[in-house]
Amino acid sequence: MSVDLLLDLQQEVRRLFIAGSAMAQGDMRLAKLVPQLKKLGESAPVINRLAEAAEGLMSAAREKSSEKLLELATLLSAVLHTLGKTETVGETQTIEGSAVTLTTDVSYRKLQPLLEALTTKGQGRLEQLWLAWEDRSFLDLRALPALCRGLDDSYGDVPDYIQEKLIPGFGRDVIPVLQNQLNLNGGKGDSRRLQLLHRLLGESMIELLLEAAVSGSIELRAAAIKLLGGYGEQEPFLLEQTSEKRQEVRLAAYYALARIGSDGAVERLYEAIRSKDRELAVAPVRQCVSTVLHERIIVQAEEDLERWLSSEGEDRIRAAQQLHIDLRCLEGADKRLTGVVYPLLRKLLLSKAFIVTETETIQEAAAELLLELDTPEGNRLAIELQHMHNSRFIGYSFRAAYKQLKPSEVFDRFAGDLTGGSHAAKELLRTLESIVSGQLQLLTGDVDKVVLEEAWDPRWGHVFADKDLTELVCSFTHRNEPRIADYLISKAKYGNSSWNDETMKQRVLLVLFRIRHKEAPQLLLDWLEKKAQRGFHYIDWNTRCLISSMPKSYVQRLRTFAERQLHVTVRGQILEFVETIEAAPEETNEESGTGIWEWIKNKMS
Amino acid sequence: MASITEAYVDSLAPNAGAMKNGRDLVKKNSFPLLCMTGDETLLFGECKGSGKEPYRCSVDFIQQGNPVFRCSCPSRQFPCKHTLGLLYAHVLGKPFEKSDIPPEIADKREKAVKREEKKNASAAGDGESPKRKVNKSALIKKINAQLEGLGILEKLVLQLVQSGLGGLDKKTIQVMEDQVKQLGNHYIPGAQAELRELVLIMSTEGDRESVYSRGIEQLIRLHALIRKGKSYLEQRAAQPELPMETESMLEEQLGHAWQLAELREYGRARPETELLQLSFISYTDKARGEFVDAGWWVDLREGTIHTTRNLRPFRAAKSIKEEDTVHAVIQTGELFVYPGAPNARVRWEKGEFRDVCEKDYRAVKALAAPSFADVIKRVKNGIKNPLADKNPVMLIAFQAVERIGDTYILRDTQGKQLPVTANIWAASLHSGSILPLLHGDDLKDQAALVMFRHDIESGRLAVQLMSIITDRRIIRLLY
Repeated sequence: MSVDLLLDLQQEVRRLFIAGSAMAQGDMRLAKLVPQLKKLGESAPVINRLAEAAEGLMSAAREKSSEKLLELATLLSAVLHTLGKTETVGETQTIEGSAVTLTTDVSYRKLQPLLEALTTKGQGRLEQLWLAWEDRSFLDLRALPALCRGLDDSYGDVPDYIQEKLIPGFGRDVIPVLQNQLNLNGGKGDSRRLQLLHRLLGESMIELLLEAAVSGSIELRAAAIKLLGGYGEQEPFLLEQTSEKRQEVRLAAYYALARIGSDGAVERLYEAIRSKDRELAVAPVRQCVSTVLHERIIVQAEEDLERWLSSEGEDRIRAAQQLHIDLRCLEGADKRLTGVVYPLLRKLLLSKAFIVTETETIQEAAAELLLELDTPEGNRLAIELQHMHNSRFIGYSFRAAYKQLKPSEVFDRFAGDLTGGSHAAKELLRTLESIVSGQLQLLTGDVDKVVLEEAWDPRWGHVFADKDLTELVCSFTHRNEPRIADYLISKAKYGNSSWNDETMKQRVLLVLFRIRHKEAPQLLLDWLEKKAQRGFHYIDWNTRCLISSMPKSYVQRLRTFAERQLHVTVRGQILEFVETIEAAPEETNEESGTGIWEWIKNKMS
Repeated sequence: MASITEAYVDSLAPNAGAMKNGRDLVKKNSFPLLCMTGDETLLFGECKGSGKEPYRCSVDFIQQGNPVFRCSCPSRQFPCKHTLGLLYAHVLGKPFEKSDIPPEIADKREKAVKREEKKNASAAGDGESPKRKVNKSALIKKINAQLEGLGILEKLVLQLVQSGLGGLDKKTIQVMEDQVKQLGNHYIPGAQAELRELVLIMSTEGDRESVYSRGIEQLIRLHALIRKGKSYLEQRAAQPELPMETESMLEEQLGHAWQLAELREYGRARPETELLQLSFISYTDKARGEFVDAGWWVDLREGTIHTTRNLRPFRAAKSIKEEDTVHAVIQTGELFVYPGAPNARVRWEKGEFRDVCEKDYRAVKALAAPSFADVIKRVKNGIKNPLADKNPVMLIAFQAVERIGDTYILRDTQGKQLPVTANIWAASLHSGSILPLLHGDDLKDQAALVMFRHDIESGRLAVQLMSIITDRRIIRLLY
């Protein structure tokens, strides 16, 4: 049976389906096929039927043509379905198989969402990976190739998580998949594959690493070169790479050399920070395992300082730039270097000639380094700097003092500097605020947070009240003190109705409730009344906290207030609070104003 | 109940979300009260919800293998996360207090027993269940409406063929969509879905050539359905007392949903059967507007490959249980077999699980068809029928999996090949990337479950590998 002839017929049938069977009458191309079909039909009756059907179609009237075309197509389709080829031509290769021991036992409802997350885009995919990690459902043979493909995902968190968490979970089973997928000319995903393979195979893949380092894409070269830092014998090759054209390659080579830390490596890194690569080399130099390099840089820095002091013009600018690089290289330096770094910093920070406007960034780098040392002598030097150089370093000085001295000593030393509008006073306030907000951030809880009582001198609160720093006063108020309370009450009463002021008032009221000030309930009621005049549409979280802190004695007044509210939801919510306060057990109410809030929160969760 | 496992609880959950939510309730310590009766047949407790009152939930194991879930929450999902959470709490080793059975549950148990007794009594009283009476005039009316519907469909198809697929524009497609809706009044939802499928194919964006190929295939199918459907319905209209067609899938293709009672009536219920699931997948059938959870099962005695199809219409999908991979052997006293070949759809009402063992795997391997030539002949004979299932699934024995160029092939003992190229399901599970990871042993002298597909354009008959069955395990290449 000539399959080709039938395929030709199929083409014509297809053409007529697209063009419309109305065109079939007397179709020339179809007519050409009929005699051949008939000839074949002599030995195969089914072909004969095809020929007849084709003739029927050509001779059919327009309105009958579609019926005839469908008949022909049905018959032809049936014949062709019995002729499907199953043999493939070519040489067969056996499949080696692998030593992977994974099963395929994870069920559809667990595996499918994971595979979908790995093969599509959109949100919620990372969460799916977390879930798969949690119930170990990623440990399935079918997930393995998809997970390794996920290393190419464009949403960085996904490949990060796969690389760090999921793939290591497979152990050595992942090796054949990674090897198969690895493309030395690929991108970021392939550099991840290279790293993962190296983690599993170690030195046995050094040849591959070298190949990637020499002939891979830039991304792969950089990754491979960085990994070669684990092999001291690769030093000559790595040294060569530092003169590569591509910046990524040179950077990787610097990192690798920093890991090796041999004399040659140190020499090259030292050269690098004095060459046009100085910016590039800073980060690798900081990580260098050999402190010899840093010691040389310190010596160099002293020379640069001298050069800066003694030169002018371009030379002077270059010396300053170099000095800045030197100092940046020392960030995060080994503790063993403290002894040599300190004298350099001392020299810099005490030198009047150095403390001028043009070296400001360098001064800051030096002061930062000094605090980073965190040694008694370093901190003492920083404290000494308090009023030197026009109080330029007062912020650093305060930070050192806060670490080194007792709270009362800190207060005695610095409280005076906070008065006035000088640059130093502003700088000091900024430092103080940043320390406080750092401390408060570590605390969990609601809006109303306070600093640890023993960490600060109690007199600070008064200073802040005098300077009208409401936010700080709130964070420093631990108990009911007349002077502070008066200040807070004045804040709660006055001020305009801007959003800032309103938020501040809420905070102040929260503080007053916290220190159980007797006027707090009345103040809150006044504040609510005022708020209601402008229309009360929504009760925010803080206001909820406040209302639920009301004592039982105010229930009646609160109820009256609530019933006057026009907004149904607001009215309902306040009344609900009223009921809860009424229902609360007597002792919690008497004991503390916030006790009831705790109690309500318990009920709500 | 003593032996319930986490996997078992997972299998009871209606979907993956419910599993997670149930577990989360345990993690968040949302059960202030966890109790168990002395005879360990009832777990009950209280679970914190968003309201004032906690939900009271219980799981009753009085009938082994058929737990009864009760919960006071208003969720429409069944079983709800609270009852699942109760079970997770139990399997995760949370302490349960021993307590007496709450009176309301004792009450409900009693009522259930009475219901059961009443049912048994009525069944015993009548002997055989009464033969369902058919209202002849209503039936004829319905058949006439069906015939009318097929008439509309035929007119549309013929018109479309006459004017050609090339001239199909957005407006014509719109008209066709209206016709699809109109067919909704003619009791032929199956034929209606086939037309919707055609509309979906023709409105697909992208490669026109492949759209035409699929469109033509679908037209041929529709044409066949109209012709066969018409002659069958005309015959029934003339002789309404004739039995329904059960030799082919025609009734179902026209849109009949077989009821179990009907299948029993036509003698399509089989006693004592053991089935082992070999493959599973869930897909979306857009034309019919439903999710389909499809499972392929081997009858452990005779080797027939059956399918199960759990249909979840989009609108009700949330409250219908999403099926999952089943690893255990199902034993059922009554297996209902729908009309159709070679992979007839099956269902069972009551079934019990038993752990699968190596003997079962060996049995499956022994049941696999040894000769590709025979299988191919059977497949071709089937798929040449325009209304046949174009993707038959077969259990075959292979000697080796090999490669020719980029194509994987299966080879039988007589050296006959079957190309493994078709990716009919689940593009995310590409067998080409999984096969090389298997053990050498898994690729020699094993059995495979394969789905066939004839590709019109290339004229090749190829298979998708669904599972490989060895002496020790099933390697599932789908789910």
